[in-house]
Amino acid sequence: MLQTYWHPMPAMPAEDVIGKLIVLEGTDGVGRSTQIELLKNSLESSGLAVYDTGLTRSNLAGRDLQQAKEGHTMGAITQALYYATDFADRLLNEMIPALRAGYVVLTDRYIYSLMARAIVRGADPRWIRHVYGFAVVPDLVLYLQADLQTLIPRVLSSGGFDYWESGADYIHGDSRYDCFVQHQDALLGIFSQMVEEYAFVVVNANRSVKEVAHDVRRYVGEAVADIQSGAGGLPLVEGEFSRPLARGGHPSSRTVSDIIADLLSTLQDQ
Amino acid sequence: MRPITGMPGKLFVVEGIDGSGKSTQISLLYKWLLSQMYSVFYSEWNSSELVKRTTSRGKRKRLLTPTTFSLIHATDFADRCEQNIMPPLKAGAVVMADRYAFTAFARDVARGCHPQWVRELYTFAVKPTVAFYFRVPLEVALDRILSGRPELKWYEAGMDLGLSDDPYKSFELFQGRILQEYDKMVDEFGFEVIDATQPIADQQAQVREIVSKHLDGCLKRPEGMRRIVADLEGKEG
Repeated sequence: MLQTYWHPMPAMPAEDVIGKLIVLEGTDGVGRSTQIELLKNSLESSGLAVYDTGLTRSNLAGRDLQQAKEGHTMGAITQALYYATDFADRLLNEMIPALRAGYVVLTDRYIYSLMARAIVRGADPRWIRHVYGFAVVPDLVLYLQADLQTLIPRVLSSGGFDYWESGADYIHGDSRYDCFVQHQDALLGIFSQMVEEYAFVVVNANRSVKEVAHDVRRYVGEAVADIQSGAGGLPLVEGEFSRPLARGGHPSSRTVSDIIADLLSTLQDQ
Repeated sequence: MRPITGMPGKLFVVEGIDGSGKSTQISLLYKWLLSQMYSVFYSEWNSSELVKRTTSRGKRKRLLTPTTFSLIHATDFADRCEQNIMPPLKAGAVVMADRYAFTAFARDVARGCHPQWVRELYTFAVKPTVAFYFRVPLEVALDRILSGRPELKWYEAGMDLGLSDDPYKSFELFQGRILQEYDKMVDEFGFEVIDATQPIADQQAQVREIVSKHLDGCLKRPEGMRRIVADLEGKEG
């Protein structure tokens, strides 16, 4: 049965679900999307059906929330609740049905990022924990942890310091760099307080993509072991990128851009 | 909810099931306070421009679950609090709200959300100076609403709960549940209960009597300000 942090939502399924909910958390620039892409490929190649999702993609509120952000007019509490609406919609209409259907649900961030963002903007930590009390407790939360010294060059090389990633909506300063450092530092502080409370598995993301992927795969392999048919478990990272992807259920899901992304990450590794 | 102490303004809210006549009462109160030269702000449930599109799409396409229904209304309310309710209260004005957090406590719990969770969502809101509850028996309210056989909207009729295939029957059952939730809140939140079967003028007289006890020191409109200034100058001269 799906466990929740506090009172469950009405209409939560009461029966056991066979799928697994796996969360990748971490601040901006830590490499979550790269790791999710790699993990998705390896899970699918080992025959598991994967459903991947991320923040502000809900059918209900995703687009409006993006537009509201562009207007920059929301107060902290309004913003926190709008994100919670989007999250609840995805949880109930996407993640839970996928879990019931036996998918491995991979989510790029979860309530922890949403809570941290609200807290740095002044929301009461106790309040925001209760707001998200309906969230399903994941089978595994991998927290990709990197120092600011690692994050800064990565963020710079991928287009510089974005308005929201720098917390420029609530930190006022002349330098976007200073805002970024202050904002990310505050987020890292809040994440470190959550490690124990939410049983994060900490992965050192100061290392190369390949090393991180190796650890990610090992932890996820343990988490999905009981739903994997046949022997073997997840293939290790060595040789992963060159091997033809013999996948059971999803032959069409690998696109040209997937292949290019893999190639690029392999090149970056070398 | 947070206490209103520390803010010079006053907040009056009206609550009750559909057909209780609360909107009529608050609009009469509004006109009276204006005639008394008070600086009055009026805020309606479900009126934030920011989330309007999400709410109306959710309702039109029936995308809302009890939880997202609750959260999107809380978002709407938070936006109104931050933009329209708190600033005038801090400035010392009178703020009036047609429906407040209690509407969510009644309606979302009737939809199956946990009472503690819904109350927790709204802890950022300030507790009103007075919350009027217009209590009316279910049959009276239903008769007022349904006698013209209006077209009931999906969520308004509580059709999402699957209580009945007939919208009118569903509406009756849903409003019955909401009424029970309101009755439970009378002591919890210290509602001022007004018997909403009385003539409109009698109810309004009771409302004004209660409100008038709380208006000391509230901000007056500029015309009023000018008169005060004139008085002061007169004394000096």
